Amino acid sequence: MPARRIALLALALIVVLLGGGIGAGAWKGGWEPSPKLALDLEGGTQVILQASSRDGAPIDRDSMEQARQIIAQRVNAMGVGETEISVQGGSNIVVDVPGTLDQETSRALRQTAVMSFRPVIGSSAPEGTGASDGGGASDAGGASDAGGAEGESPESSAGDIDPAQATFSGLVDQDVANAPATADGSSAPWALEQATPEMQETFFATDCTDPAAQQEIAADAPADEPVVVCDPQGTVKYLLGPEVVPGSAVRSATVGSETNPTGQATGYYLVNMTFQPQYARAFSEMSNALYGGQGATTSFAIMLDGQVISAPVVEEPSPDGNASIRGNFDQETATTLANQLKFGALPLEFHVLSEQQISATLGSDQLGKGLIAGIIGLILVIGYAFVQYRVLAIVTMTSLLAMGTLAYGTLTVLSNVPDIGYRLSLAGVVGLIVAIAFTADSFIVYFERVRDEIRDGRGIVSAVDHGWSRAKQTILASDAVNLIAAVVLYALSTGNVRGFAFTLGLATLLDLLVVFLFTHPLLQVLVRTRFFGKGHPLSGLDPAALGRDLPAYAGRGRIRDVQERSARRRRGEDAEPPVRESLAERKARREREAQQAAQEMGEEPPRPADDPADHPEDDR
Amino acid sequence: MTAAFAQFGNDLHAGRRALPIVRRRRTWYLIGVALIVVLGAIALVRGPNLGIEFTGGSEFQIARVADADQSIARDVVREHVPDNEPKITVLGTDTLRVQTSELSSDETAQLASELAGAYDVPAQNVSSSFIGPVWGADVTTKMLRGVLAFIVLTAVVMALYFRNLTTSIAAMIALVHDMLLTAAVYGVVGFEITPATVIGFLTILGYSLYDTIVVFDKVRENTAGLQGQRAHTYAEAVERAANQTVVRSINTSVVALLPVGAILAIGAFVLGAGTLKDISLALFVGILAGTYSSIFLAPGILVDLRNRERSIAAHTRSVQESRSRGEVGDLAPRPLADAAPDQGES
Repeated sequence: MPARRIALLALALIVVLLGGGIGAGAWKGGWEPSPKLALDLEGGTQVILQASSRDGAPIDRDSMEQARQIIAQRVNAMGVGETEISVQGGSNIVVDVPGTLDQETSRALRQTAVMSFRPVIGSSAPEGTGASDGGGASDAGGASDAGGAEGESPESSAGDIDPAQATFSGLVDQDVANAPATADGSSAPWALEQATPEMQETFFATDCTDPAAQQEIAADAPADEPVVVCDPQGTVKYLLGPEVVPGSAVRSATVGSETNPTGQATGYYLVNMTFQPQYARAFSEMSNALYGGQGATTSFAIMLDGQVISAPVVEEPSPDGNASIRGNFDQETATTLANQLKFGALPLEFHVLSEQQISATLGSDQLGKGLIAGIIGLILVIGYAFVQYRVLAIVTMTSLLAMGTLAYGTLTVLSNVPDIGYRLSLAGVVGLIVAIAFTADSFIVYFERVRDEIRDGRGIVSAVDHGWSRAKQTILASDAVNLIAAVVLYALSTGNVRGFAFTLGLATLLDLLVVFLFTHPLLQVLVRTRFFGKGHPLSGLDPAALGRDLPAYAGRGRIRDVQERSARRRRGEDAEPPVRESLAERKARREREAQQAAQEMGEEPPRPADDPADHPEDDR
Repeated sequence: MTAAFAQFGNDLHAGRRALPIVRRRRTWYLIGVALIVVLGAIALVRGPNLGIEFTGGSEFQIARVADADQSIARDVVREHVPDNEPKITVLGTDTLRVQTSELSSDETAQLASELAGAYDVPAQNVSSSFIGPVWGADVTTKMLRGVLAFIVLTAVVMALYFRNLTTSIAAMIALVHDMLLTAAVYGVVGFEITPATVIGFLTILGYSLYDTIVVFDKVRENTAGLQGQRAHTYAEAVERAANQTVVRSINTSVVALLPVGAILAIGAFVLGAGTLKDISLALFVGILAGTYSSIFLAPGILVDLRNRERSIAAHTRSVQESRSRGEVGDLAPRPLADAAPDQGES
């Protein structure tokens, strides 16, 4: 099978796979059979936040991912469905919400995410699970003395709780009288006195089945007062003392392998953290106190953005401000915790760069007009191609059609795959329309090359092959440049620009696919027909029209000389269309030609002795 | 007319007719620079018309109003947020745009519903947006970073593709011309500068180079056997290549301008403002500028830059010497038309 057939088959296969995939997705997975629309077309609210660190330090990728998760938690907490939150262009977080955004959510988005280390005064498990993601804290270098206690061991404060009673372990397990007081008479942050009657009341009143609502309150709580906080799953409720160490005190947080007392790896991971020197003492004091039983419990909690992300039991005091947290972590959970700790080191503030609420009416207006513009553009391009390239423009038309099919299919798949969740914005539509131009450009580069080869006296079939080998290079280089533009734009930009860059890049890739798998093989097939292969005056490849006064290769071993070709041109039927032909005449002629072309394409006899009436000179 | 155009293409290809692209290159440079300077000066005098994305503020769009009377909106705004004179424009036929200075979230929501009431449209027909004053600056910084990254990357890619650094530099100079000219024309037309403008502007980068690559590809082909012959100089070979790609350049530009023009027409006359109009004007101008620079500027710059190379300068001298001795038959300045050994294989 010649390469041209393989290429065409490959493209057909891609189209069938795309179509089949979408069909199967629509049948089984509830896919939409069309690309999802972005907010500017569908209506909705888009908030673009800029994250900045308080001290102006640069923000790394991990921190932005943490910031995204924090914003996602806040928005989900407000019960806003179908929200999409993405990090774009390095330091922007884009929140897309269908419909309108209520005041509360809008406010929640602007808060600074703060982390703090607070001692646990008491905890309970409202849902009766008693699970905690807390681990044990021990010296960084002292894992061997850790006594083998794990996060889920009975030493864990969360594990102590009888879920049925939803008890307040700080009160039940500890004698109030034993609670130590600091020298100046006020209670230590970890002392049971922190659990004032009011706080206890708040604690019991707090409903962790709705962790979101509580998160709002907890995130706003002042650092120097106790607070009631839930864990992210809403399974454990904590009463925490005032902040002992702020999150910004964390100097580093790394993931390491956990070893057992004999120094062998347990297969679990732990998180090592170190504190800034000026905070190391404060952390050390807290860990000593909790370890020494001076606290209401033996745990402290790491609170991030109004939630307890970890509440480790102190298994060992930390004299130097280094600590490691363990708790049967696998690498992923350990990495998550380490990233959260690092994030805490760099509290990010969020500024609203723009907040747009787009009405669905306006969106659909814009989409409609955009599509009309696209269709007009497409018709004009095809019309121009017909004027310039005659019937050869059929190649342009079908290639654009192939391009459109592929683009539609790909965008549909991309918007239905949850991990990608592409949405077509107005800028994306413009990108696609512009892609019509760029795609048509590669055909023109190709056709003009083929014509150049014909002008240089090459036979048509060989001109197509030679022209292709030259045009291919040019098309590859140009598309590479366009692709670079698209990738650079996509990587560095936000919102609209990004949507545009995405479709532009996609269109460039599809352009390559179409040119290689469709346009070129199609032209190869076509030049093997008599209409194109012999350079019919309307084929767009007529050597005479291209200024060749050399005998032209007529295909299959025959040469047409100049007289024959000019004779052909003079004959009424085959001549160049008269310029002042009426529309109806032209239509009739086009139809006749199309019929003739179809006829000629359909049959490929070894010796073209057929149809002598139409081509009397053929048999000369 | 099309037959004439085809004949024009044939003549250019065969060398029977030639535009003085390289010979008159200084004229073309002058035209390019003069356009940028004059239009740039006008644009600077007019001052940039920055969109709300760059100035910051609140914007409302009321779609499908029965009566596009601006005074209704002005009264509503004056009543609710005094000391905040709105800027009101009618977009297309039935959409009103009201821009005010920054409003709080509460004020925005309230004003939106008041406007809907005043114009008697359902609340969902009113769009509102608040744009912080740093948003535009943020977009601009990113754009500049993007342009820089793009120029560096493509300069490297083109230097590798053409295996020649000067070729890549010549293309970049043409690119800078396109960007400056586009910016100047945009300023003169006075459309609002929005992030959509930035998008259009960035797309020109890819397009302009696309055009130039096609021309330079032909140049490379025509000059491949340059050192082996003494019929024509490097400059003449480049001129021939540029002439041979003129028809293609015109065709690609027209084809690119058609859909972009369609968007521009719809955007400017039907929708009135917004993404469509801003992107397409920048694109439209950029494509025109890109066509001019790829046909008339890039080949000339390439010749000027490469004539400094020792091997090419030596070759040019030897061609001139052999001509003065009459070795190549005639002393015609352009012995390209008939003796075209670069036309190769067949």
